[in-house]
Amino acid sequence: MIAARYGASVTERPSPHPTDRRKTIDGTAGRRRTRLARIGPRGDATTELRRERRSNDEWVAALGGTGEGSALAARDLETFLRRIVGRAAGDRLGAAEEDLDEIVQESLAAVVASLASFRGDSAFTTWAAGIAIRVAFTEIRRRSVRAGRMRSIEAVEAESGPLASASEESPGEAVARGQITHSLERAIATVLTERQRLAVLAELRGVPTVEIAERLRLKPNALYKLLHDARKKLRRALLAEGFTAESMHESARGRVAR
Amino acid sequence: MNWTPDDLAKLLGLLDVTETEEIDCAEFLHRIAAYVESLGPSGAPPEGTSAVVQHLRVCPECCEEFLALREALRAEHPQVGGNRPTE
Repeated sequence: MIAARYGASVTERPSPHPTDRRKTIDGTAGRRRTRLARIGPRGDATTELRRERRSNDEWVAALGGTGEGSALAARDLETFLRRIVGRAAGDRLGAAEEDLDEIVQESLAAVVASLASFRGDSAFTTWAAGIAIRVAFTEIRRRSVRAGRMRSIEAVEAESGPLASASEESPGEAVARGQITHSLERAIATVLTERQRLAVLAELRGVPTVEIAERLRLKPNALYKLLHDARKKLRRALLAEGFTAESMHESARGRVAR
Repeated sequence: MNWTPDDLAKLLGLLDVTETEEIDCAEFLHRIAAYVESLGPSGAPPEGTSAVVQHLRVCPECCEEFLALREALRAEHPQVGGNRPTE
């Protein structure tokens, strides 16, 4: 499922660009190679030399191939991803080394499975780091729900809370703010589907999107579309009632546009 | 399901930054590496990255991952741009 969150886009959005070792961060091939060497894992001199010589295309070819070169590239990338995940999420994964191992292996597998979608518009290692962090944080969010540190979608469904007026507003602001809030509540009830209401509320209350998607039996990109469509419908409904983009902006920031 | 004032306030905030066309989380992941690399020292978003910036405003999970990526890369490569989250 973790790979699916990433992989969903791989099949739907094939890269229009071939990986290009000369497409650089700052426009020069030499600097790209230097940057790759700096960003890549620090190891012994042999490792450094090997890594420095690896362009984006070489990473892709090595990881997509077989043999010793492939194994070396996979090991280099694993070393790098271990550091990235450790820094980004180590304290949240806990002290167990096997947890980090599991995440790093899943990350490596997700990177290799997604090689065809690499567009070459960044250093390969930066792209791989982004995937690894998504893998790690998705797992952390799942664990947080299981451990009760994050809300589950079932909890959101069961929760109820009475509407109460916002505090510390002047009566005039409260009235004006109340108008847009009232219209928003009406729009939620009338223009959203039941699935959209549940998904929007769950997201607002911090339920991980991977949990919402599973519950609604949606792929992650389909969930995003559902949420985006819901926001667009609500925005249109408010505009149709005479609220302006400015009044929404002001209300969203706790100020009331007159 | 009851919607609290806090829910409605958060939702209004999201509606305020909602665009007709948005990138989703998978497309964001495709673009975030290049975005992080192109951030200047001030952290100002480079030209042509408005869709990435907009996604950061509407998706707290991708925002969390972006901050983590930036900090992890900065440890590898100090000139990775942008202000630290606490700055």
